[in-house]
Amino acid sequence: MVALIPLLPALGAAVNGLFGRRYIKENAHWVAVGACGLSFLAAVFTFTSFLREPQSYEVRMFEWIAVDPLRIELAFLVDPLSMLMAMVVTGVGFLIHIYSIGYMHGDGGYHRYFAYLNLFMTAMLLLVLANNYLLMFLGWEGVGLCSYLLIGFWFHKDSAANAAKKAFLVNRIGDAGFILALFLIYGQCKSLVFHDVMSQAHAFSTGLATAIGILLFVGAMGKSAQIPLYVWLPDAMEGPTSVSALIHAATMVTAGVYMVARNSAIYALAPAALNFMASVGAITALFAASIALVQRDIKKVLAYSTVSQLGYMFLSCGVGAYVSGMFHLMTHAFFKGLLFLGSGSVIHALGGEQDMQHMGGLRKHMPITAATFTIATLAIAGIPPLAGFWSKDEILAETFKNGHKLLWGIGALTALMTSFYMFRLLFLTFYGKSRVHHDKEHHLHESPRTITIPLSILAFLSIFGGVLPGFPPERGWIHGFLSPAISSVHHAKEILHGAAEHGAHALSLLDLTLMAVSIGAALMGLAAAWYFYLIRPALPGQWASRLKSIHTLLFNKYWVDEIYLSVFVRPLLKLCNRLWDFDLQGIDGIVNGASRVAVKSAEESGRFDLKFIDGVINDIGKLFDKWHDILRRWQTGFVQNYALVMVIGVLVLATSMFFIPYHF
Amino acid sequence: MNLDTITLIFGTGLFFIGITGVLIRRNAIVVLMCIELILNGVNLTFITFSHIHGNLAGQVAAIFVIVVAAAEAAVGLAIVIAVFRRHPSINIDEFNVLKW
Amino acid sequence: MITFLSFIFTLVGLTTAILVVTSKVPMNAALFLVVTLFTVAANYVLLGAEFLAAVQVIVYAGAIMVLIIFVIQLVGFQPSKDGSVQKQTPIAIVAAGLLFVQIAFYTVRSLTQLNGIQKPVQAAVDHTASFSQTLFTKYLLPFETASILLLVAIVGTVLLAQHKGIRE
Repeated sequence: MVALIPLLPALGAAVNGLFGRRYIKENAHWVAVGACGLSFLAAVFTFTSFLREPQSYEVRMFEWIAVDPLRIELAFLVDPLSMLMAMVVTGVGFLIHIYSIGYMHGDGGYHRYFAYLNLFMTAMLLLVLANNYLLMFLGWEGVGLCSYLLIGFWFHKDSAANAAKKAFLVNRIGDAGFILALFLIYGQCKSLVFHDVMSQAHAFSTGLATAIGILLFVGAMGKSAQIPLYVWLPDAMEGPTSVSALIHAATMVTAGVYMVARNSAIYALAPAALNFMASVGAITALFAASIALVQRDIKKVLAYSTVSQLGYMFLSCGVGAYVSGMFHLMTHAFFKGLLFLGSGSVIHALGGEQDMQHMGGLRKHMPITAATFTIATLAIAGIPPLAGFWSKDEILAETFKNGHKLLWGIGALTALMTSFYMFRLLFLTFYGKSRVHHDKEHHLHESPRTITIPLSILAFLSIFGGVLPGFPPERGWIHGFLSPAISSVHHAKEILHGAAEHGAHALSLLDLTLMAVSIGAALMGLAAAWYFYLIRPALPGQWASRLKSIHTLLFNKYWVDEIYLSVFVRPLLKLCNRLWDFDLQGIDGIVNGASRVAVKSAEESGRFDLKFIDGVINDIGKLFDKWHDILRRWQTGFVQNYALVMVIGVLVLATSMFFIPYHF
Repeated sequence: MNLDTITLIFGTGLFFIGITGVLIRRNAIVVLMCIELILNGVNLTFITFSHIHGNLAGQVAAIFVIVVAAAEAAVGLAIVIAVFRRHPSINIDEFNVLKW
Repeated sequence: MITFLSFIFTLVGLTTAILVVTSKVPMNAALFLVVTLFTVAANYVLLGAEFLAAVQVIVYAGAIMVLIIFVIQLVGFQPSKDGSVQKQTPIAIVAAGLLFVQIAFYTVRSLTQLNGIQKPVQAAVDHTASFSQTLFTKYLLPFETASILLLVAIVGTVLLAQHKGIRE
């Protein structure tokens, strides 16, 4: 049953990939959505039977690699962590598949799109269900590949092709870290199976655990878009919006968080790695949120928002609250998926317009989209009782309680900014006066049902997906469910004290204060956005000109892309070009007898050649002239003469063995 | 004179005959055949020692030698054909372009 | 009995091997080579390497020899003139002979050393099964590499033998 979860999308991808272009064409969605739906059903079935009997188990399929002593099985691990991820991936994935029917309707690469999407599901499910690191890495690379294919889905657009390339290359940097971590783990444990590694993890020295932890986190940085490797994610918005929703918001980018949570046993031994992770996460959250404040492209805002929320998740993992991180991962999948799908609906209705300055007042034309989008915005901003509040508040509370006061401050500030830019986005798009171009205005329409139904379901999940599993904070259902799969220092502490201390009474004063702070931050953001963009719409422009330097800095995203371009990309390109030149000339030299190169260089340096080099060569030539008569007799050009010399050489070597002591 | 000794002599003899042939024959195809003789001599020695030691590694080595020999024969004969197409002769002593 | 058989095979094999080198007509050389290969295969059987004997017959005596004979027929008979290579014949024979003596010396020495060692008892095992067991577990990676080598050889052969060949 477990095997069916990734297998079905794989079949769907194969069918669409092989027969899509000729035979299936416009019916590709039946195959893809069907495969994904069945996969979701399989996941639900596995999940419910797991709930009845919450005992982790492995399902072995067959031996994948058997080169002694390395043995890798294709096997799946069913435990709380993988089940939660499988449910999120198949569930949200299924909704986005349905959404894609409407969104991608009429595109020339319809079948190709669905084949890629199914392939992505396969890889992602392999990633989350794998029972060993190598299989996880296979999925990890697989989602990277699909991400590349789907970002560059409209590859005839230069910007899309470049964005795809960028995503792929930046991810490679992270993957290098991941691979090195795998080498270290294998070197230490002689096994790559999670179970074996975790049971041996306590024997790791602190240095080794820190090295592994940081290297794994470098891998997560690439995939989950953390500073400094986040640059690919905003560019990835060149892909279809449904892809942004599935891959770059709900599932793939959260793989890093999942991976970190999966390795909690290693991180428990490496406080330095944890602190590093928490700091990077917090800084990323703040950094990306500040960029999102002033972006005009609706998808760019959401992209930076995603980077920022991922920062939250790492912050959470970094302070040891893996469960909160996973919880936020889940709620984030709901509301960020919804936000992207809603923005896709808007873009669809406006015929490709993504600039928020040309939107506004869309509420009247697209009531369902506007309503669901509002719910998602409330959820991400952290207004109770919607999903985002529970998970985000919990992260902040855990950060504070574990003694990271500064990081908590950053997190709270980010929460304020999150609320502000999300409501700014909401108000600019759906409320206020319409700034839509007149020729587009009468085209405005609510999206078809295949789009609105997934929106509604996700809106439902955004409302209740937080409070149901996550209430009361830190002792909700999800905490009890996930904690067996997580081993952390704090968790152990909680087991010791938790039952006695927190068991009965609900919320301490500290909890309530922290909660009030995060609600306050959210409401302040809401109020500020309300004042700036609805009451006094002229104000943002004035402020922007008054704080011009900061605004320019933020609007240009701190020029990080430009810095990377000049520091890393250009020198590398230059080096590559030089190497390429060298290659070209070298091959030309061999293939064409170097004649063309000689001609070219002769044109440029003919005189130099004639006077200096020729002179030198002639002198040398005269010198060798005396020797060549003797030496050339050796170079007969007959193979057999050379063979004879070889045999004599062997003879001499063998003879020398008489005189050298040997040992058989 | 037991079995192992005889086959070792056989192997060594094949090696000797093969090397002599490679060195003195002019016909490229015959030279290729002599190379096969050398390889067979080596293989026979491998297998004899595998027999002596009761260790299968020698047989494994022999099968890799056969693989290489097959590849070598295919490529070698392709070269002979390519050369023959250009210059209607396959006598090695008419080719001394290695000099250049 | 086995020793006697082996002796006969060796005698026939060495004789035909010498004929391979000495016969003037390439086709005769090829046919003698087939006989040599068969005697080698027979010795493999006596040494307990049945699988390799089969491979020897199929790959060598079958595939490779067919290829060689095919090329001989394609190229046709080549009259040979005296060339410069002929000059090295005496020295070549001397060098090869010396090499032979040396190898024989080392072999005999290693055999006399081995006589002291108890030979591991060869139980009545299925040689082919245990051989494949070794090949596909301990030597799996070399095995796969060999397959790549064959692939490269195929591509190279096609490239070399195609009608246009490689032009300068």
